[in-house]
Amino acid sequence: MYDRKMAIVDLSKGKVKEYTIPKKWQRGFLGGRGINSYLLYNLIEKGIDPFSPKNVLVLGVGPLGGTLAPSSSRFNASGLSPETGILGDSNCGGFFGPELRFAGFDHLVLRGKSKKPSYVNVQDGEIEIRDAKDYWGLDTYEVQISLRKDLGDVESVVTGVAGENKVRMACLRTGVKNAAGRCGMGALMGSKNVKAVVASGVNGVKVEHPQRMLELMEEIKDYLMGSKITPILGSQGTPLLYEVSNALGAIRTKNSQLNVWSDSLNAEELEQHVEKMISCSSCFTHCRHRNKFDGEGPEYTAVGLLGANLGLDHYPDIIKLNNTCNELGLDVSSAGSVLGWAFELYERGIIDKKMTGQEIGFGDFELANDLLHKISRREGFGDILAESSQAAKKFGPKSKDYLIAVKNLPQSDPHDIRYIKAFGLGIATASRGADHLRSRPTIEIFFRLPQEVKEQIYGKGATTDPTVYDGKAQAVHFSDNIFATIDSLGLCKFICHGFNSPHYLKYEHFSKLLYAVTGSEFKEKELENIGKRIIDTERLFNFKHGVTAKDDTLPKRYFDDPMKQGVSKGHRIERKGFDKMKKEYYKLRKWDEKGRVKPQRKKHIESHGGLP
Amino acid sequence: MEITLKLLKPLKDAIGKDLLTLEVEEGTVTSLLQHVSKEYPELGKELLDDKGGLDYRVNVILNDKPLNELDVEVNDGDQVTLFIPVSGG
Ligand code: SF4
Repeated sequence: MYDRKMAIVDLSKGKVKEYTIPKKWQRGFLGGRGINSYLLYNLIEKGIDPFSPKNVLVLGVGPLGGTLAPSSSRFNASGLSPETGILGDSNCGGFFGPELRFAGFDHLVLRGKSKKPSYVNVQDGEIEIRDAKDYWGLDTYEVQISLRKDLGDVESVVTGVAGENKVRMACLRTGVKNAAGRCGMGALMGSKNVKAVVASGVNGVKVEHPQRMLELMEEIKDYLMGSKITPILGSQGTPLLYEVSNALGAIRTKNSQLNVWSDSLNAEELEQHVEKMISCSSCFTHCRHRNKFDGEGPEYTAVGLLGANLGLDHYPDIIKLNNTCNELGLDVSSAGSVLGWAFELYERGIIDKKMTGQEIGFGDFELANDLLHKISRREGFGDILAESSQAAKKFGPKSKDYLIAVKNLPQSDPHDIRYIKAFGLGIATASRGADHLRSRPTIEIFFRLPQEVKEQIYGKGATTDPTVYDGKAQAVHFSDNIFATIDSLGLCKFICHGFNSPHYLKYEHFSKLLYAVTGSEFKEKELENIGKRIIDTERLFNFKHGVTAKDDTLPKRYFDDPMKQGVSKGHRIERKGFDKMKKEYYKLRKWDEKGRVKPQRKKHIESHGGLP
Repeated sequence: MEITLKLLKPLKDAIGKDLLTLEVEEGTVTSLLQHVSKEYPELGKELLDDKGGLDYRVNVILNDKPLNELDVEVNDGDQVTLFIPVSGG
């Protein structure tokens, strides 16, 4: 294992301290999400406000980040979430993660608070805190263009106007659309008076066995390109999923009051608005769209949550809302969910014009666009919506019955989980709240997967029928583990075994890639155990910050209201079945009956030691 | 009897159509898919695996019911929907 570096940037004191990342951390947590989560567990005190200077924002890249490894574009941004008050962690593509490594650092911790607007410049092994007065107030595109004009060919991760105004659902952005979208990491950066972290470096990433790496890449390229799914993702991107979810009667519509929406949002309708497909660093899947409205996207998430969930069915409107979120630095998932929630509350008379200042409701593009701007500037009703799910404090207790969120995080994706039960368990137990990218056992949608294949992937007892509660804990447990591992390597989970296909990268591939890059051997079982260790570390962090087993639950509507339309008509999550899945999941995790990590395990995790 | 076959992307790209109205003999979903794969070889390539069975990645919904077994009878007026699921963010 070769030396990798991290730094703590103390914004209050204007000081930078560099460290070699302890070998024990690298072996125990790899990097990226894993080391970020371990750092949060060690550095964040119990009971602090997420906007306190005592909170930290950690940017971290995995050991495969920035190499030839496929889709090795990712980094994680982590901190105590301003949106949820628990673990905040968000994985992001683009080109920034690799560039941070080229600049000499794998992890960067921002702590304290700068006295004036600043940015952090990381260049060829040097870190400097610089004045950002010329950049404050710019949107996410403008600031990146200005930084490049002033500094040359740099990559930056920035906060937009929303983050400057500490909007709880503000994201970090790099490039036009790549987002560390979830959990309000943009608000956290803004609260520290930081506009951007900029990286540039000429040194590349050390690869221990370059010849082996080249051979391996040939093999892996053929393996991935041989999958039916790769060309689909490369030509259609994720919007293809809209039609799939809609065919299943599982598209969140008008705040999940309905579950089927218009065919006008099918992927083929998007094609006329797409200029070309593009990719992140080192990726041949190229699943992203450059649209003809001067932006990038939309992803499936935007199609569903800024479309069906807001009662909109005209693609240009949805692309424009997507671009607005990108520019302002708003998380598409939370923004679409929170607007849908407010519209239903207004329809039901739970909130009224006195609070909103105007009539609000579904199916109004101009209104939605205007509210996104108001949220980002905290103007009028936008100031309340900017609180995300915490707006319930203003809306009143009844409003919580209609909030589609878990642990205060609005649900990330547009899939209504009442039909496929494992999806429900996944978002209920995910460490950052309602999010499909933590543990979604997507291949549950392959209804015809043979039982033996299911068991080979998920383990003994896994079941084929997606609508039963038996055997679903295995599916979530498997996915949770492998996604934690891939997030910690620096690879994109779109090519991860079990996310899109049973024929994507597995622990054996991770092991080979790690050996080629770092020269260290990691057995497959060890890599799976790293995933488990990360999940337990995040659980310890969350329990330290007030989470209990009762928070592993679902929105009331998913339990109480049967779905109304299509294939999934009549389906809901039964509480008894849900409790059974949850109990089985705790058992697989070796947590106690109250969902707590056992003391012996806590000791093991803490034995990895504090800062050197 | 008349059966409607609905294809989602990317399957519909194979034949440039998303709806097919088929005149078929009585039979099961399996026999229907064998028939359609013969009639439309380009679609057949997408639907069938190396052994000539329906690729497990292709999902089948008969009217409003997702199927995990294909030896189910089809009846006059039925709609069969075929799609390949993917995931994403
Ligand atoms: S698969 Fe898509 S999101 Fe993932 S790295 Fe490639 S282009 Fe980026």
